[in-house]
Amino acid sequence: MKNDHIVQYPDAYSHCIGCSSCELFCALVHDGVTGPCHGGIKVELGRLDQLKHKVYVCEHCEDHPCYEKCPKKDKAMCVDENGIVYINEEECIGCGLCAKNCKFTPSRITMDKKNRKAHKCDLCRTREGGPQCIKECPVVCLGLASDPLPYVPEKLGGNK
Amino acid sequence: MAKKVFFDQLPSCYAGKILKIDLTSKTTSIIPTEKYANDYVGGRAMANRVYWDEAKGGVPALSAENTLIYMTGPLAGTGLPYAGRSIMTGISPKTIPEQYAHTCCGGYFGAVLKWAGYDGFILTGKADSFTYVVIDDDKISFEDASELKGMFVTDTQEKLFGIYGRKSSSLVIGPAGENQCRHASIVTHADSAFAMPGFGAVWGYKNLKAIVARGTGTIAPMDIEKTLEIHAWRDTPEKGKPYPPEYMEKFGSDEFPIYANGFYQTFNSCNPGCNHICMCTRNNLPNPLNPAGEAVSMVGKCMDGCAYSMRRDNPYPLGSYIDFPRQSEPGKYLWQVPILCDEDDPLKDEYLRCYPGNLLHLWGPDFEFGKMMMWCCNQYGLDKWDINFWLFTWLFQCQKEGLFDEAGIDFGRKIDFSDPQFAKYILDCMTYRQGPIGELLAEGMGRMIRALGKEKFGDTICHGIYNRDGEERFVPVSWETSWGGCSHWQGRGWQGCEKNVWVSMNILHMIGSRDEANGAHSHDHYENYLQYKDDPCHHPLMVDATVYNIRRNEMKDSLLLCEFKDPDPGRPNMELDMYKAATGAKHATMEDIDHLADRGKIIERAIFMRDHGRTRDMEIVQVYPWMTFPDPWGDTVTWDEWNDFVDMFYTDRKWDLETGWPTREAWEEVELNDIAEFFEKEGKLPAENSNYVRKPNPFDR
Repeated sequence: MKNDHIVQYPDAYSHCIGCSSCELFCALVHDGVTGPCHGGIKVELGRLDQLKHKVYVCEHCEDHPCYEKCPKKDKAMCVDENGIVYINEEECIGCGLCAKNCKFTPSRITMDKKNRKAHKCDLCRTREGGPQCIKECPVVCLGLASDPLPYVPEKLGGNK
Repeated sequence: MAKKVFFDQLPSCYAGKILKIDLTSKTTSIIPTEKYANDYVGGRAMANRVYWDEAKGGVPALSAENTLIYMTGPLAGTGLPYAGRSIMTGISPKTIPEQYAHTCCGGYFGAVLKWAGYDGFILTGKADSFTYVVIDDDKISFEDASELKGMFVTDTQEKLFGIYGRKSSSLVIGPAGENQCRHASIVTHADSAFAMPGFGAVWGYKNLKAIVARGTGTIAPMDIEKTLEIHAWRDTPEKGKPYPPEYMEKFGSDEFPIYANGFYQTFNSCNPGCNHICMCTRNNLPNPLNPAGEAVSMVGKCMDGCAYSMRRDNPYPLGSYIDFPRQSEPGKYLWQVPILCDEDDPLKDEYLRCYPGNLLHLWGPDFEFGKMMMWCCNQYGLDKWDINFWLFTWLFQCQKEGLFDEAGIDFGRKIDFSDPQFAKYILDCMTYRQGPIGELLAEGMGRMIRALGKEKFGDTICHGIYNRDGEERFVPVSWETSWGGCSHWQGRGWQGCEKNVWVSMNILHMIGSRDEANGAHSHDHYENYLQYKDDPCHHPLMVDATVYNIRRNEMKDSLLLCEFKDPDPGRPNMELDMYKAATGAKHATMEDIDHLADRGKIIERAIFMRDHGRTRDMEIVQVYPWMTFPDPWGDTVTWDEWNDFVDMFYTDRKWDLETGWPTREAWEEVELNDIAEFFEKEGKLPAENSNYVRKPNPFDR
């Protein structure tokens, strides 16, 4: 599916518990480190006495303004044949225009100001087994927009 | 002997610095982690050594001089399972007497602190006004906390999120800590708290409301592929089934109320990157303190089920404590997942053998009552364990025995275990030092009971607890066992278990300073269990099992693993694998892991000896009285039996039988020659084979 992307499942299906597994493992498999300035998926914790945490990740939108505004378009910010918008970090100069022009708030692009690099979700396009964040989520609250829910509780009608 | 070198350079799993914070002078300094990392792993072992080096012993818990050590482990922030856990040590205001103690916590603060560049911090002094500390990468500031005064825990966290962003993390105290209640906790994420030693009171004394961390740095395990492999292995077996309602029905207590009024349960994980499922989080609950406000969620681990209902004791499933030869699933899950067994396993009946627990006939099931108790603990910043298992059981049992009426003690409100507002009232009294008995409650259970008169309010026997054969099992109204702490897997009153378990656990409690049943509990192989089960106090394998459990506890608290998951018979080398993945210590072995555990543990004993005058005479009497009350099967120990076992244990550890002090050989075996020299100068380095004559039972009257 073109413009596929990671989605956070609705509360009725599963709750993000804010464990940051998705963030950590995204950063680890892409950059070899963990840290808030790395990785392409971000968890924003809600109040700590509630489970209303939000996961923010690139939706690989069709008009992809991040790509359009990149001064090194097709070298640093690229779009592949499946519509996946990804960053070639070797070419990235960390200007931050992609992050500024992301149409979502907060921006789905993480800036590593120290190393002058941008990071974003690339749907683990080169990794066998698909997105690492989905694999690592302990409560199955992440999936691909194109995929059906892997397990549907009875109260949601069950798996047909 | 030279210490083994595990790495030449500090691995990337460590942040590299330990921050020293002096609240009095509002200054900070740095100790390089490199000084300790190779020899002390992290967590508890490192905190013990740092405390030995940095702290002034023998000071009151509530004093500027009380030095608190906060330490992460090598796993924190790496993505290895459980990463995020951390430990705090210092002089506890709750223990009797006040002494060095530790407490572990889940949550995010550990990882965030490492991203800010620090593996831990040392906290000394006292701020001259109500303060919070901000650790923002290299920038440390001391901020005015007057606006946070009196705030509940979550509101404080929310306020700090508002100032420092939602990628910051904080440790905070609630009103209980501010009012120096000796059961006060320091809280980080939902229900993740440094609770048992009452360090929240120390922060309150030090005028410290919170420490906030925010960082932009990085942490990395040395072996990423191994990290991914371990993480995948630890993946939850229930993954893919987010919250099947049948889960709790099968594996929760049969008293566990299925609360049908619109809330549902989900699994919970308390650490960044952890794949471990905790029992459940209960969502969409009316806020007990503000029913008109937004709904809330509560983490339910082992405690909240008991807050809802104390009609019967925990079940004792043998398979949770003993590893069976063909076991395919880890045994020590504490009801987190089902105990599974092959149908044709010849040991199936034994494996699945489960004592359902004594009938206590205390309160519940009453979800609203328990929820109020737990929620007040969350928001006031109180230790749930002592509140649930000590304060409320004590209130119930004293009331039942008519002790309050006899003594004319009026709490200012009718004791009513069917009224959630009674739970709130009592915790308000304790937290805010209000009501006729609030000042006493705030001094903590042990001190309050002594002030009221221990013989009556501590030692009176409570009636009405029965085993499953209908035999009455008498225990005192106060479930106090050792060092001013409350019973935990000690065989009677609460958590009836077989003698081998409680004998082993009682050694851990005895040589510690607080409840030590916070990790490994008791664990051994079935073939060993068969050898010692009939007479555990006289079998060397029971000593081996005890040492094994001490080591697992130490390593759990040093690597900082999960309280619910370690040890894991499904992967006996788990600690080693994780240590190697984090640090890259290619040549480390399981023997090294045990050796590091022994080194960390014996420094704790050094602190007890140096700062608190610890001796055999002091510790042997701590747990003994509790063991004279029959467990569910009627088992007890005699004074001689207990001393026999302690003799065997001390001998194995190379500790002097008379004093309990380690001999030179014991120190040198773990390359702590400097500490041996210290104690030689102090006159506390006993010669081997000192003439030990067993003392008579002080409880014989």
